Amino acid sequence: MNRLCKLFDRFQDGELNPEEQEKFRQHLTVCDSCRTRNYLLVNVARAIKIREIPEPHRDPEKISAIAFERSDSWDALSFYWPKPATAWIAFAAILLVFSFLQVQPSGQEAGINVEYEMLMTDSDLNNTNQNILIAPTDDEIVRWLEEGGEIQ
Amino acid sequence: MPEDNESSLIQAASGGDAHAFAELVRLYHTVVWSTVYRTLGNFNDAEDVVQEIFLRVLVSLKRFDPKYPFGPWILRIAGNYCIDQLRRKKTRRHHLWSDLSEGEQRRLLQTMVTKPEAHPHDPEEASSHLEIAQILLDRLKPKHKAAFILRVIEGHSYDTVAKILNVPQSTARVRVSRARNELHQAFIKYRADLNGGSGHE
Repeated sequence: MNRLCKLFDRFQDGELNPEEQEKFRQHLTVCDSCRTRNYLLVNVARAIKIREIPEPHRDPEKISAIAFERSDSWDALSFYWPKPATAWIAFAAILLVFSFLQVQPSGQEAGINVEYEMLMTDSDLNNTNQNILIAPTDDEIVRWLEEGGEIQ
Repeated sequence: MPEDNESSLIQAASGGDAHAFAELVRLYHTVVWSTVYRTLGNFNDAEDVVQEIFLRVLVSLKRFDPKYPFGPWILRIAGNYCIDQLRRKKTRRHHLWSDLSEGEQRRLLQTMVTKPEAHPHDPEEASSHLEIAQILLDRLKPKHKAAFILRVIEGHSYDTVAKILNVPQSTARVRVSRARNELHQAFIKYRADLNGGSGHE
């Protein structure tokens, strides 16, 4: 692409001064790429422009009547709602933030929980040791049964 | 800023006056219809889309700021809705291929890049040209296509295109320029596909 190729858009838009326009026209005779693009764009635009635009079936009165009929409907109100993709992403982000806040306890709560767990563990250990200490031997149990097994 | 008569119509329509709204529709129906029809290239789609656009205009009238011109505001609604429709249409891959024979498509493509101003007088030839042009246009990105139609086909200034698309003028220029490049690339790819992937410029 040379310096003149960069004038392509301005040439298409008719924004070149007469001198630049003449230079660009000469450039078109030697630059295959610009010439092809120019012919293509001119012909595509022409084909679309000369296409006959058919008359629509619905006249303005009918369009207006249908619009008024539908203006109170839910689908009309939904124009103000966020687009589905955006709404879902926002919803997922909110869910993620809330679930993170729920799962992650705050510093103070963590301290209390840890302290409680430690106290309970100590208590269990003490009870277990006590139980071991007061646990009767087999002979004592046999004797106790022979005496009638009464609870003291 | 809208003219006095238009301003009063807008005010009345936003207050629920059906006759005033019908008058507004009558004023802008032709320009909206031609833009939508040329952008979508399909009669049935265009008719439904125009109906939806005027429904959106009615629902949004209360938010219209009368400091700004009404025409570009309506066309902005039309442009945005057309871009949405083109995005959906793109996923359905409609109208990307022609019913014409491969040889005929090849000949038409060749004509489009070798004749400066191909004037097909034969209606059938003109229709084939249009079909190829529409296939190429349908391959543009929706935003670029909308800018291209508004600027090159409808002949709006870049200032108006920018207002309609609600973008800075420089962005409107970039979009039209990209549309031109994409059209050229679409042409090269189309020709390459017809030549079994061996085509080059």
